[in-house]
Amino acid sequence: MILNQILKNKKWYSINTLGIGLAFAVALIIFTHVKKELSYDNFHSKADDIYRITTEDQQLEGQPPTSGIDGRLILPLYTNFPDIKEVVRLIHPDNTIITADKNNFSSKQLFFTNSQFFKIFDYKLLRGNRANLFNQPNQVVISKKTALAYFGTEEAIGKEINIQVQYLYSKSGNYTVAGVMDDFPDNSHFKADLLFSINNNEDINQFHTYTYLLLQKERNLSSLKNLINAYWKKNTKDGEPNPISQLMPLRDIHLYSHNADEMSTNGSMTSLIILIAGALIVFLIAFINYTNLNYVQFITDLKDFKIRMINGASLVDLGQIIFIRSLLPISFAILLGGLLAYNFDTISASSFNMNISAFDLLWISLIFYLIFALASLLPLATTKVSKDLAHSPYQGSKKFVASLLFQFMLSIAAIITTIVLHKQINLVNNLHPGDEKSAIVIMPDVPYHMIAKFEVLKESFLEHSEIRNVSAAFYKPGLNIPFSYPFEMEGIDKTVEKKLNMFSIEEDFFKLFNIKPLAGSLDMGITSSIPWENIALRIHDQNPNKDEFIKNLNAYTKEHGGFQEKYILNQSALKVLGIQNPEDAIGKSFQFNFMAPELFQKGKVIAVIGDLHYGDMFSKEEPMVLASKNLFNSTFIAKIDPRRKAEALQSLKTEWETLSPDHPFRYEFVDDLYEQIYFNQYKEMKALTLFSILSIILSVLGMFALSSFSIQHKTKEIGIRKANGSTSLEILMLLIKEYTQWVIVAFLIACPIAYYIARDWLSNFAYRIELSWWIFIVSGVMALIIAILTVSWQTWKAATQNPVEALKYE
Amino acid sequence: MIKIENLSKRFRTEDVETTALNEINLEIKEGEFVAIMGPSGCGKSTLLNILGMLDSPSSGNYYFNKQEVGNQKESQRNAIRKGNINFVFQSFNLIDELNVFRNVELPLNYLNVSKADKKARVLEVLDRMKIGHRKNHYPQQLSGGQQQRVAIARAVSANPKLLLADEPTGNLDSKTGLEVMNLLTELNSEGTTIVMVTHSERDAEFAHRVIRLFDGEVMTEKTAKEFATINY
Repeated sequence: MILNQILKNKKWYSINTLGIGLAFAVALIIFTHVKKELSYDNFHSKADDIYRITTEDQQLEGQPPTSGIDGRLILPLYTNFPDIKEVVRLIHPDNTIITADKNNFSSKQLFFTNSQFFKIFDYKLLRGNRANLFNQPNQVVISKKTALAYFGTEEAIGKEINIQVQYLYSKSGNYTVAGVMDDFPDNSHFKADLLFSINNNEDINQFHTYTYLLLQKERNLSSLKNLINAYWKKNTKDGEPNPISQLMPLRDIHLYSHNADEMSTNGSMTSLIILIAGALIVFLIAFINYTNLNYVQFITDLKDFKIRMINGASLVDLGQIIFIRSLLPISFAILLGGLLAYNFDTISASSFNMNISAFDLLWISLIFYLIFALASLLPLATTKVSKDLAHSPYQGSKKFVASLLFQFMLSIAAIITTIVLHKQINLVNNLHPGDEKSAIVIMPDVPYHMIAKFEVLKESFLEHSEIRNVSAAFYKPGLNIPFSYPFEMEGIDKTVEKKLNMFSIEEDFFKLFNIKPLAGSLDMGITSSIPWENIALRIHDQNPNKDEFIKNLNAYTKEHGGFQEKYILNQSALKVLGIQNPEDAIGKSFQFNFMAPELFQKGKVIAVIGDLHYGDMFSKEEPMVLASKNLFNSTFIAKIDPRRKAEALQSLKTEWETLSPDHPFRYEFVDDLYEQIYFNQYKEMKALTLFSILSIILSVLGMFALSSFSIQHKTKEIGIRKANGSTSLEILMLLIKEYTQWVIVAFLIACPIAYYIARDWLSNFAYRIELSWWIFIVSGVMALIIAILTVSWQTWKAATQNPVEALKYE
Repeated sequence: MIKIENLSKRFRTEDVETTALNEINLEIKEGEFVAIMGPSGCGKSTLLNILGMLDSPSSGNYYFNKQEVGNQKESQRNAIRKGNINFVFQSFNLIDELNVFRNVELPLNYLNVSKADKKARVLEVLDRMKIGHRKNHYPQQLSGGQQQRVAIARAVSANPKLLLADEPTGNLDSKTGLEVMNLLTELNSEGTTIVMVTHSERDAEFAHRVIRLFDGEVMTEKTAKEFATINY
C-alpha cells in the first residue's frame, strides 16, 4: 500500500528524498569536519594548562604576531615565575641534512626540543622509556613512519642519526635513537617526525623558538604576561625584545592562531561558522521543501483521511499512517546521503578526509528520522481534519508564500556571497607577482653549499630550452618575513628613526616575475658575490680581526671591477619616505643599516616598483627595499614552459642532483604555495559554491513542485479565463507576475544580509574588492530567471490547454 | 433512538450568515427507515451530517440513544460514532489505494476485532453484497453499482445501529439503483435504522416515513403510505 502511494506521487517523493538526502550528506560531512576541527590537541591530558607564547613587534603596525621568541629570552622563564611549571622549547631549523644508515634524508617535520616535551604532551611512545628520554645528551626520538623509512624493519632504538644544521652548527652531529613514537594524530596542530634533544638549560641564542608553558592550575594569565614582559624589558641587554601579546591556550591554536610563523596551516573559526551556516541553509531549504510538499500531499490525501475518520479512525490512527509512510522516503534519503558523504572526497575532489564514525552516522540518522517523521505530522496537527468531516477545506497556495520567499532569500544571499568570494580570490591571485603561477617552480630552503653554487646551477638549468628563466630570492612566495632595519637616504630627515624591510633578490627576479618599474631601471648590473658577502658579514666591532677583514673585502671589491650597491624601493616605502613622484627617488644615495654594517654598502636608488605582494594578502604590504645579497637567496626560482612541465621538472632534478647528490631535490609550484596560504579561504569558497548550488537546486525543486500544485488547482480558473477570451500569453504573464513579485521581495531582503556577510569576510584581507552593485543585481536576475523558467514550463502547459478540458477538471 | 430539539445550524462566511437548519424538531425510532427530501440547499445534507456527528449544531439539542451528543466534544462524538453509525455516500468515497477487501475492513480496524473475526466478517458481508469475487480488485476497476455495493458493505461491516445514506443511488442507473435500495431495505428489515437523503421520489417509497425540508425547516412529515397516496 505504501509503495502504491509512493508510485502514485513519485514527483513529491523523489524531490523529498533528494532534498533530505542532500541535507543528510551535508550534515554528516560538516558535522564530521567540525568535530575534527574542534578536537585539535584535546588528546593531551594537560591540554587545559598548556599555553604557547605569542609575541608582537610593537613597531610593525598591521603585521601578524609571531609564535616564536628569541631563544635567549627563554631561560629566565624556568626559574623566575612560580605560575610556570614546565617550559618546552621547539626549534625548527631549515636547511638540514640527515644521514641514517648511510642514506641521506630531508624532513620538514624536524624539531629540537628539551626533555619536558614528553612530560607535558601525550604523544604516544611506542618504544623507549618516557621517563628517561633525553637524560643523556644527543638523543633523538623518531616517529614510526620515520623509523620504517630510515631503518626498515630493524630495531631503531640505539641506532645513530647524523644531522647537519646550517645555522645551528653547535647542534650538528650524531644522535642516538632513544625512542619511537606513534605518528602524530591528524588533529595535532603540529606534526613531528624527528625530535632531537637539547639540554634544558642549554642557551641557544637568538634562534627562533616556539615556547610552550605548562602553568599551575591556579594562575593569573594577564599578570603572568605582564611580569614576563617587565622582566624581559629590564634584563635584556641589547635592544628591546618583542613583548608577549598573548598566551595562546593549546587547544585554541588550531582555530584561533594565525601568526606569521605557524608550524602548519591552521583552520579558522570563521571557516567553521561559514560551513555550519551553509549546512544550515541547505538543511532549512530541504526542510521547507519537505514540509511544503507534505502539506500538498496531505491535502491530496485529505479525502481519504476523512473517509477513514468517518469509519472510526482516530487522529492517532491517521498519525500512525502518515508517520509510517514517511519512513520509507527518509530511509532512502539517508542511504543516498550516506553514500554521498562517504564518497565526498572522490566526488568533490577535495580533501575533507571524511572519516565518519559509525556512531555519528547512527545518531545523526536517528535525528533525521525523528525530525522528518515528526515534521510529516505537522499538516495533520495544524489542520482540523475532524472539525469539518463533511466539507473539503479551501486550499490556496498563499500558505507557501512565506516559505518560498525564505528559500529564495537564502539562495540569493548564497549566490551573492559566492560571487564575492570568487572575485576576491581572483583579485588576490592577480595581485601576486607572476603571470603563469602554475609554471613557476620554487626550490625552497636551499642548503648553503647549493646557494654557493647558484651561478653554476643557473647556467646548467638554462641549457634546457624548457626552462625559461632562473632566479633566486630571500624566501619563498607567500611568506612575510620581517627583516627591518634603519636606513639613511639622501634628502630624508635622519632624526626620525624609520625602518624598511629588506628583501634580497637575484638580478633576474624581475624578468622572471615580469615586474616593470614605476621609475628607473631594474638592471642590477654587477652584484656582490658570495665570497665577498661572507667576508662582509664577519666585519663587526667585536671581531678582533676587523681591520684585516676590511682589507680583504676591499681587495675583493677591486677584483669584481668595483661593484656599486643598488637599491630598489616599493611604493609603500615611498609613502613612508613622503615621496610623491617615483622619479624623485631615482639616483638618491641610500644605505641600509644592517647589523653587519659592511654587508650593505652605500649605494643609489635605481628603481621604484609597485607593491610586490610577494607575501600573503592578510596584511598590508610592508615598506620594502630590495637589494641583491646572494648569500641570503636561499629560494631558487625557475620559470618553465607550461606545456613541457614534466620534462622541465626532470631536467631541474637531474641538474640539481648532479651538483648535489646528497641533498634531495625539493620543489613546489607557486600557485600551490598561494593556495596553501589561502587554504581556509579556498575551502570556504569551494564549500560555499557547493552550498549555493545545492540550495538553488533544492529551491528550484521546491518551487517546481509547489507551482505545479498551485497550477493544478488553478486549472479551472485558467479555463474560465480562456473561455472568457483571455489568451494563453496573458495567462502566462499573469502567473509569472505573481512569482516575480515574490522573488523581488526575497531579493530585497537578501541584499543587506549578503552585504553584511560579504563585508565581514572581506575584512580578513588587506586588499579587497569593491562590493559593487552589479554583483547584487546579477544575483537577483539569476534567481529571477531561474524562478521564471521553473514556473513557466508548467504554466505554459496549463495555459495552452483547451478550456473545455480545463473546465472539466474538478 | 434519535431525538432532535430546536436544532439550528448557521454557517458564517466572512460577512454573510446563512441559516441551513432553523429550529428543527425530529424523532427517529430504532428500526425505522426514514427518507429526507427537499429542494437543493434546503439543509438535507447538513441535517444528515449532524445526525452522523460529522458536524455540530449551532444551537439546540441532539439526543442519540438518550445521550446528548450535539454539544459534546469532537473526540467524544467520534467515540460514540465508532461502531454505532456509518455512511453511504452518493460518490461512494472508497479509498483508491485500498482494494475491496481492505476498504470493507476499514471500520473493523478501529474496533477491537480479532484478525480472524475481521476476515470472516468482511467475507460474509462481501458475499451478502454479491461482490465477494472482486475482493482483490481496486475501486477504479469496478462499475458504479459495484462500488456502491462495496461502500454499503463497508458501512455495515461493523454492524452499525444507524446507517446514514446521502443520495445512495444518485450516481447509479435506475436498475442498479433499485438493487441498492433493495439491499438497504433488507438491512433495515434486519434491524438497522436507516436515514436516507434523496431527491428520488421512487427511492423515498422504500422508506417508512418521509420528512420534507424547505429552507431549513421541516414542512411535512408523512408515512410512506400517505406519501404514496399523495403521489399516485
